[in-house]
Amino acid sequence: MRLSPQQFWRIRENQYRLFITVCGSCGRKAILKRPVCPYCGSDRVHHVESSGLGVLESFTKVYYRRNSSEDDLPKFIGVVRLTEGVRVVGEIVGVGADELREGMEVEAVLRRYASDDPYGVIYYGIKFKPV
Amino acid sequence: MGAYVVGGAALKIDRHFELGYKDLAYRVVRDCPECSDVDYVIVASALPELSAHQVDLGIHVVQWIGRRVPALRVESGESSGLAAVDLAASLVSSGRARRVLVLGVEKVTEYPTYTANYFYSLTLDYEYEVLRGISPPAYAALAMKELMNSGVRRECFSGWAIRMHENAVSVPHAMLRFKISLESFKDSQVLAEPLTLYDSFASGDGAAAVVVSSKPNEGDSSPEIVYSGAEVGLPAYLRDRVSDLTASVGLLRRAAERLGLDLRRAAVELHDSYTVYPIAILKGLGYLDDRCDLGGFEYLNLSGGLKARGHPVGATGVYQVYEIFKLMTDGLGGRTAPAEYGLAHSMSGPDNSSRVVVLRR
Amino acid sequence: MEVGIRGWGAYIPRFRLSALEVAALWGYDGRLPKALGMVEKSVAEEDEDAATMGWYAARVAMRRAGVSGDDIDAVFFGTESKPYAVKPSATIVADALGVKRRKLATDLEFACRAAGEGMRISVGLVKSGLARNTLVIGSDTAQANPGDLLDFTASSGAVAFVVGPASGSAAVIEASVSYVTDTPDFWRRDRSPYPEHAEIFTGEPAYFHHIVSAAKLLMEETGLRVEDFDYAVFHQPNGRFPLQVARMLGIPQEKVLPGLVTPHVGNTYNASALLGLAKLLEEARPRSRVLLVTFGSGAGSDAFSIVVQDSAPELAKMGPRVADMMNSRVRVSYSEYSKFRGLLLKNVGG
Repeated sequence: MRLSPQQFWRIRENQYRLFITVCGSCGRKAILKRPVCPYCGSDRVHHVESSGLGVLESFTKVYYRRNSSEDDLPKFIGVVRLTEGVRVVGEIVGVGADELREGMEVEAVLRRYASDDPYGVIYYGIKFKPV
Repeated sequence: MGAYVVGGAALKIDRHFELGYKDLAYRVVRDCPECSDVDYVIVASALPELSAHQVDLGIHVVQWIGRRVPALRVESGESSGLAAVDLAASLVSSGRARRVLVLGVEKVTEYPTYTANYFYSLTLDYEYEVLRGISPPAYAALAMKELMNSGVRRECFSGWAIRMHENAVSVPHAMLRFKISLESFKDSQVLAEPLTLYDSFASGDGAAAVVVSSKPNEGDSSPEIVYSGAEVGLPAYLRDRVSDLTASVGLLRRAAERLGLDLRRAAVELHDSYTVYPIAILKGLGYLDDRCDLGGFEYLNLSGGLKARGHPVGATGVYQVYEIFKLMTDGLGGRTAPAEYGLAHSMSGPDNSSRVVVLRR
Repeated sequence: MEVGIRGWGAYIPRFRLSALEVAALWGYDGRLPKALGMVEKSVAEEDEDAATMGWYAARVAMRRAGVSGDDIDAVFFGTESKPYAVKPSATIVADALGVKRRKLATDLEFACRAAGEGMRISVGLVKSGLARNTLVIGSDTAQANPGDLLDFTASSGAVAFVVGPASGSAAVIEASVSYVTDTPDFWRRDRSPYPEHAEIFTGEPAYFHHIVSAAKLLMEETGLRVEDFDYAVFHQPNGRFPLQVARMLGIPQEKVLPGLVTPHVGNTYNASALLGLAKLLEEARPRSRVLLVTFGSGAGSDAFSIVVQDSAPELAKMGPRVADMMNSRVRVSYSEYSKFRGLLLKNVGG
């Protein structure tokens, strides 16, 4: 067994949903529910959930092979600017050949991240698809 | 008390199928007379748990090479090597050790390429980058697109690779000792558009050693470690631009200002895991226009860099310091750098962390 | 308390496999797809499964219903292609949607009608006051033995409904009834990768008998007549059966066609008939009465009388429409289909 059920279970909230950390000290926002502001180090933070909508700012078509990655290659990794103003980098799915464009509207979707085939646990999390 | 580099050795970076971690370590110290008289060993390595099922590699290496001195292993991803040199300088400067053997050693060819790629990807955040499908070349490709969108031509990156290959031809321990042409980029496999295999580092096993001592060698001018620093950047996905390598740029600028050092006149080894990163750094420092003329640099990556000398992940920083030591003393593959300063720069991930070590003759 | 559908959502993957390509590959005459009423079927990507598709549909349903995770008291996940043979999908989807912990949550399995039964269970829970709102999801990545007749139809899709008080809802569930027997027309044994079916036996004694019986029961119990329904939606294992069963019940074709999605989407199993209902909620005029009859092999049917309410057209605007998802399509080859759906035998665990 390569994937750890407990590791995924522990972080599932940040994988299943798009939270944003808002800093009460410097006012900046960062993707993921975090205990501390990554910009200024303050723990005066609160968290809000993103609508999941955003704009694709940039993307790359990836052929880089990693363990068990051939099922989902080639794949698109994109930079998404959420409507809340925060950037997130993630996979863009549901795309036919040559369909992706910078400036496209995208929305968050739940997909599989990894699965310990054939008998192990399945990790799920947020990716993006064109609206 | 000062810290001086008094010796070292390096093995050719290659697919050493017949040599494991302990064998590589033994081979490099066998060829290094200065490596025998030491009272502390620091092993720099990033992947042994993953590629060789080995914890506490420092002790196992020391036992295998027949020493009974304290040892530890330093791991800081791709910049493990410079982190180890930094620690060695501290041990020596503080009086905790007299002579420290820094041993960079890495096996990256124990598994097929796709597995090595997975291990290498783990320099990123496993939970929030790797699981999400993000990989080092994906970030490098996004960074390259940013620079190209702001006017940098594709040939800037290709040009870096071509220059690295030229430099590596005369370097005995370099992995890729042949020249490449602009033409060859056309057929290079894409890793992540627009980044190709020719924009990527050469992947091989390696071992390099340097000895850091509280005293210079008698009768010769051992270079002194006069600066050793580190800076941590934001994760790439939290930056406004992936290509904003603020940790590296800031640290290099600070080191240069502190010492009155001009990178164009120093023996410099820049971390070029992907061709986009040195271009981004030199642009960030204000040295390059969009044409990327590197002509003003006298001794830039004479080793061939990660691109052509190779990148045995956690050992690379030790190679860099060894190369600068050789360039500043008796020469590397027949070339010398009669510069006052030598600077090694390393980073892990896309500027997750940056480290700099400066030697002065 | 009257019970209604407060919100709905659907999900149809964009990728489509042509029925003609299936016929050509497996040596069927090219006229067979037309006989089955099939043009193409939807294909989920390799990182999709019943849980991920169900999540999407449910998220849209909750948005249309204007409810948050705190308002959902039960989650019923109807599927016959669970990602885990043992481990609920409902919990994955509920957590990913932020549904509170104090809830009922379970996967229901009854071939293609588990989600329909989830609707009836929900009616009971809401009526009794045990739940204020429930979330019912039908989602399948239906499997077909490659080359089998099912290869023309077995597809991927999801639909979800928030069931709650009728007041202010998009559609009122006026009445419902179920009809269930033990009829082995289609099954999948443990450790078998694909379902088996009894071919012609899946028709008369199974599909037609149960749907007709459930529909007649509903009309007997309510006093409604065929003419009282503006639309009829039946389970859609192919493009022909729904039209045939409508004929048997004396329902004209034009009342069936608006809710018939299978010819261009395929049989999405638990989403099949309910996807047709979702489409009608987006297109039917308010006050329209819909006859909905599910079918699941094994076998059983649930019949519902549903009246579309005034708010439906406005709510329809709050999410992607079924018709739009049917139109947003990208053709894939049988090779891509095989890769997406994991049909190729590979070494795994490396």
